[in-house]
Amino acid sequence: MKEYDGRLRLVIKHYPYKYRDFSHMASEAAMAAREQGKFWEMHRTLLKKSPKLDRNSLIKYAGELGLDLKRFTDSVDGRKYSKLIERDKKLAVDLDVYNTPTFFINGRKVIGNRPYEYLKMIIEEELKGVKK
Amino acid sequence: MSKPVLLLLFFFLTAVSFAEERRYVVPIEDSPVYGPQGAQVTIIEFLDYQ
Repeated sequence: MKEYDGRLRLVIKHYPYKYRDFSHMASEAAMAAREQGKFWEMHRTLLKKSPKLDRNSLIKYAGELGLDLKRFTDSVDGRKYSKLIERDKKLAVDLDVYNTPTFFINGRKVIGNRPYEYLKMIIEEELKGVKK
Repeated sequence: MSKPVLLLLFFFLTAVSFAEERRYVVPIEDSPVYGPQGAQVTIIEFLDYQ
């Protein structure tokens, strides 16, 4: 991201799979951290610590990020963002997303974990296209 | 390769490239965003943390 500072924008959509234990809760945790201005910090932590995303671990990570833990756990336990997460899931289904991660780079669908070089190639193509 | 096979291959390859070139409209709504609104490239990532 840093390499393209100012020219790139990243948007996160949640697509927690139905049959995994902590998927939905981890998305709730990211959004609960967002409430306290720490979405990207939590986002990076979750990606790094996955799949260790049980409730106690999430609270531990929130503590490490200096979040207000009562507010955080109230939000996660109350599934405060389930509406937004469900909306993202519906959008994923509508867009025929069947794997994660799936990227839409200026609307171009790229499915699955790809080497950074591959994503970079598409980003470069898009940057060139804009200049035309 | 015979002509029909080549023709089939041609249609297959063009179909694949059209599929890749399709551009989807993905609403951003109030999802978390990093980077400026006027960025030349927008990446929308669907992810599962687990």
